[in-house]
Amino acid sequence: MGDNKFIFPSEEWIEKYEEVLNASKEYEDAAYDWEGDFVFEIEPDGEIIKESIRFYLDLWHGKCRSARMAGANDTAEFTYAGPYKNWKLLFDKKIDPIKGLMQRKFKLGKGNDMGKIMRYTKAAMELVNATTKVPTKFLDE
Amino acid sequence: MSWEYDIPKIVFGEDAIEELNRLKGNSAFLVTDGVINKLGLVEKVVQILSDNQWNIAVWDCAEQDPRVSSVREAAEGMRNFCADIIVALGGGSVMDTAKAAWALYAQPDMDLTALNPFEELGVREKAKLICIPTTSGTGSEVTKAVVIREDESGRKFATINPELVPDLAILDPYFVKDLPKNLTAWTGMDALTHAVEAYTSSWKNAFSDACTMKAVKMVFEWLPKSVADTSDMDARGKMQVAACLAGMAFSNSQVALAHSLGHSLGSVLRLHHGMSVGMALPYTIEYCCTDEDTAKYYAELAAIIGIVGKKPETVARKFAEAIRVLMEKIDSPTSLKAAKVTKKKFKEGLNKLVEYAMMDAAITMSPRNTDSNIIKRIYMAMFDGEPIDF
Repeated sequence: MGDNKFIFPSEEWIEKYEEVLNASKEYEDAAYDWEGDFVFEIEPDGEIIKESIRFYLDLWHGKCRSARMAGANDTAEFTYAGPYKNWKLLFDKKIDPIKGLMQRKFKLGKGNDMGKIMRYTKAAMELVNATTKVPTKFLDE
Repeated sequence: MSWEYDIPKIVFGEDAIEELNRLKGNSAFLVTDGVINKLGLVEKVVQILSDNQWNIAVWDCAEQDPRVSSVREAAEGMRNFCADIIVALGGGSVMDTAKAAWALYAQPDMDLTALNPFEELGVREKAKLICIPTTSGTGSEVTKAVVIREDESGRKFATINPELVPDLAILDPYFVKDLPKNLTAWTGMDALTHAVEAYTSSWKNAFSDACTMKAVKMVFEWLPKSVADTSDMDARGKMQVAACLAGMAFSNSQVALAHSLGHSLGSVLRLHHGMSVGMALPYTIEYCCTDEDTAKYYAELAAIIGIVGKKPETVARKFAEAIRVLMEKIDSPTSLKAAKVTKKKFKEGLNKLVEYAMMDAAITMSPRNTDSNIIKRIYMAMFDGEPIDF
């Protein structure tokens, strides 16, 4: 981490993300009564990402209680998954998190409670906005 | 990044209703409401379908701001009747009822509050949907959007699904000839709000921009005429087209903050949808125009109605004022006070207004970010009729 940037994906990145998210007044406001955990999954692309890389986020009342790298068997109430190149575009705000789902660039886990998600679209947006506040260096840069 | 532009076939103009003669199928389920039925508009549709040997069921129980339970009843009717065509004849609430019921017809076990843009519904395996609007504002006849109300809380929720774009929209001025002045005004403001928000939404695109620009021009030109003289069928026909263009625009680029605020006003204070979003529109323009790019977009729209200037933000604020002038001309309230909302009722409902607006999906499309405190301040400005300067 020589240039004050955090390599994505990595343990240090998710630690920084947790810090940024917990400092986000916008997220806290939008998710003030949210209760539920998330897994962000970077799907393998056969080139840069050989195996799925997953982040676990325990989100509770506008705060992130814990964030860590997750294993293949870690489950959460919600999963948001997509290939590495799309995560990069998401962080760069070239993909909108909701439009990205409609464009099939990302997918939600089967059986996720869509009624709940639809009531917290602003919170979901702020979750993504927080990623852009982490100084990030991508694996292939 | 690729995107898509979903619209139905549109037949418009005098006698456009004759298009019903070309439909193929056996069982037509007509969704409408009691008022439309009493006005005799249902008879005209039923006559054409009967002449073509359709089996017809008329369900005229659609309610304003439809609740989930009401939609379920309509879906049950479709299922029992084995409808292969659904005809929605009415305003936005009727068409939204039909669209949401269409989804439930295909997916009977679905939780309607979980209806979302991402899942496949398979609605066309069950039936096709034809929409015949009797108001000029909602644009629902061409959109993938529905707005439904939760039974328990009364919260209105808006969502989209690409499959819910109707198959055919019939814009026949005959069906808006009896629309009273106040509804003409409010639904017209709904159309303008769709257009302006589509043009500044974060999903805007060239196709929706084109529809928007024409819609804005037409609303400013034809809405006052349509309200002033309810027998001006030319003006009414033009407003039908304007509303449809605005619907095509926002269906493919989305609405934003004015709709979040307006949906919440409908939920909590039970104000008319078009009146609510139209009232919110100038305040949201004033709030969002501090963003440089967004101010330019507003200035582009302002230029269409002859407002120009060097500084986009200043032009945007003049555009907001021009919208208020338009509302005054058509007797649509520009503040909650003017809409006869009492201070007591407003204060009692304020926290709920903010909570529901924050939950509304359209808020994510706002070109300038918001939070609950800002939403509260905008509502307070709306109550007093004070322009936004923060």
